[in-house]
Amino acid sequence: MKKYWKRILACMLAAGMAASLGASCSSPSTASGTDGSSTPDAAPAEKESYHFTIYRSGAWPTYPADGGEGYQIMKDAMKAYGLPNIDWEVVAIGGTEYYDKLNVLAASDSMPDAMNVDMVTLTSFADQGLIIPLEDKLDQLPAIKDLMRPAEVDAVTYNGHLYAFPVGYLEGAINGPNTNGLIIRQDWLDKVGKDVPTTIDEMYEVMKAFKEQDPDGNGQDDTFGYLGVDSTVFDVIFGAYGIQPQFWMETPDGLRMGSTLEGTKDALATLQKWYAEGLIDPDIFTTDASLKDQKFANSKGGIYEGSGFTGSSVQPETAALLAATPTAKVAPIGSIKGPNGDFGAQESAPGYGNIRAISSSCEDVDVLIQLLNWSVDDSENGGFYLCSIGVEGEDFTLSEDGSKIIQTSTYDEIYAKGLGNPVRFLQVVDRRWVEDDAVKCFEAFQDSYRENKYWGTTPAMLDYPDTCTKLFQEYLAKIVMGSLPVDAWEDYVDEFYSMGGDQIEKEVNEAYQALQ
Amino acid sequence: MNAIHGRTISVPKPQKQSGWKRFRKNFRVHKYYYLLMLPGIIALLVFRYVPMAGIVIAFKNFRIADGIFGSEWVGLKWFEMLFSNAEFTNVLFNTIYISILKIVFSFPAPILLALMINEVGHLKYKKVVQTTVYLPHFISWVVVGGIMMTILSPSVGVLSLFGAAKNPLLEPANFRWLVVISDIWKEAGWGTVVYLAAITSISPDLYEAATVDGATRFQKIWNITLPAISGTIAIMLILRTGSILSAGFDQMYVLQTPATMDVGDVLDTFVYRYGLAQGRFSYAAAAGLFQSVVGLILVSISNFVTAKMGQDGIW
Repeated sequence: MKKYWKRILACMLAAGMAASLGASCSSPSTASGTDGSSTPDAAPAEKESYHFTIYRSGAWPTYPADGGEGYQIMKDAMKAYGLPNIDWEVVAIGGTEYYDKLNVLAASDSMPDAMNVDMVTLTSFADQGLIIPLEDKLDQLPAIKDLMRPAEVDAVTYNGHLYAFPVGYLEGAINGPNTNGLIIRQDWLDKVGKDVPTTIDEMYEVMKAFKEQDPDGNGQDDTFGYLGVDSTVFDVIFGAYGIQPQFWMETPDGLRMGSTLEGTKDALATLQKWYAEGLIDPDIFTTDASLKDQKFANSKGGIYEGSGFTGSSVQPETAALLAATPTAKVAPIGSIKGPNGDFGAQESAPGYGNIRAISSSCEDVDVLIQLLNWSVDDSENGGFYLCSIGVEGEDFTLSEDGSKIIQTSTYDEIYAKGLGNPVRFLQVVDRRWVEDDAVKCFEAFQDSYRENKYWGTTPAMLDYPDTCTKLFQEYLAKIVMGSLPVDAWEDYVDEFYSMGGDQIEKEVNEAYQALQ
Repeated sequence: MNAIHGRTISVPKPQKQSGWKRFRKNFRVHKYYYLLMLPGIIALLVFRYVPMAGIVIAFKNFRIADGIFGSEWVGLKWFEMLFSNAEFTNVLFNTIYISILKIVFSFPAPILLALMINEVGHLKYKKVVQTTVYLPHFISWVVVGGIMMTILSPSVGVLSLFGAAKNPLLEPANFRWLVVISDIWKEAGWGTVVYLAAITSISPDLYEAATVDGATRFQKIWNITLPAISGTIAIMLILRTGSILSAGFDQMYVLQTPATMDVGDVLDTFVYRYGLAQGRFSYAAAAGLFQSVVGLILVSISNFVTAKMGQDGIW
């Protein structure tokens, strides 16, 4: 009898294990089947419902996985607008893991219907036929078409085809693509009796004062001049020496990578000196973006790699700073001029780094485009506000002439509702919500950007993926920290060219000539 | 891992029989145990053997749209590219360097620790120590990396009290040692499980006899405990040699910074960067295949050597 039970138990155990094994095998196929629920040859307008999977590059932790209450709000608006019955699933992944995930999805043949791409992914996906040309679809996007900038449409055109939709911009300087710049603590400046620096030398004096004169008044030597992230290229400082190290720059010999030009060495020497004197956060090369924001909020540094948004009190890092130090005041550093009067930070990547492609596995492209158009349409029942700042009357109010938006919910609250950035299926840059202080920051930064002459990706860049960015970051970190002398920059240039840099440079120049 | 307990008694060899016959007889007797094995075998086939067919992409120009079998053959193109890539040579060197450091320093650590724990007389204290040294194993490398960055930080870390101006993790000269030290801290305790299990199976008679003969503690360790677990040590060493070309992805990925890329970039992170981050699956597959083949060769060699030295191998 006992033996009998043993057998039954063994069978059950084995069956159970096999079943769980089967379950774990089958899960990938269900994931890939999300968009394949209907027959492919049904006429588009005849379907009862459509389902789209949309991948967004970004981290919005409060966004509910099921879409939250905003899902129904959006569905109601779509119905009233006259769209067919559409369901959607948004998957948001932040950081570079987003592109890892896209590559895995592509390799396992389960591409989302619409997705954020960057230029490298766009090039490789387009080459592989994974995303579709969209130039014929622009006319189906009346709500955004005229707000796009022709230069950006050109920038995301590859092999003669438009492979992604760039963003649209509302009128006005404040809605421009460039937002990044250095932010300084005005209250600290007042304390040490200095003005906002405008040159490298003034910046040095200010940072020295921030380091030595205990501007936070806690009696400890725990403040620095400059806060940045591990991936920083100190673009404002290099700009003062006439360089943007990771941009293609015009020279008499054609386009050259900024980091291979002579000015780079001077900028490196300055940075090395600053670091040795403790003016730059000594942990800068191990600090990620959220840690940088923490340090800023905890008053660890006086100059911060921020953006025009930092001037706004609803911006997370600024809100945290004001919560910890209510007397804090921030101001923009418009531009920092070098010994020859040069200046200029990095301009933003085309399309504000927020370009969207449509997968070739998407079955109902025209319906998807209707959805995209709805999401940027600010007419009645359009999704413009729902997909950017929430419900009117609940989350924001419009000023009478429509030129200002007064927000009453924080961004985290909007995301928790399932609205705002996560469901921003296309973007129209609209900064009417920005407070006057932040407007000043945007205006201060406005004229202080340096152009990248070539944004595209060439085949050699894919063959030598580390040459254009990683190699420079290695040398930059070592030279700034003093592990290598400034002269090591010459070794860098040699290494750059031996690691495929010569071929990349050649291809970039050819492509650039062809564009002219 | 059927070799967990050290074998001290040799089993008498059964009379010669053909392998198949012996298996069938064995199968009949133990059929329910075989049934229990089935899910494991299926899992192994499905997740380990079937995907092996995918290594053909190392010899193809894999385009996602064409699929694995539809992509064009390119022969050894990726391998040629790999071996002519200066970065790869450096990555290979780093991997072997760090692996050897780990074998020399991290591998004996759990053995020493197990011997020490075994000598603790007070039972409760022993349990507490054992549990405490296990714990770091369950902390993710991401967290350990964060803790290390903070401890070693020259602005807020413990090290700043001693006036350090730089984070040692960012110094290429210290980086490899910090990798080894953190690996020992995190994994040595967990590694003792296997050895402690082996030690438990040693007959107490041997120790009693030794005590009667007047052996000291150290003599007992040297002459009883160590020989008894030497089989286990040999097997663990063989398995470890097989992974000489993988220096541990999580740890390296977390601890790498731009400043230490040239000493800290290893094959695992290289394959990840090229394969997943760049989407160059064929190139990454070639690097991964190379890694596996070298691993297989090394395991075979060390297994052969161990067998020659009179220990049980893994096959």
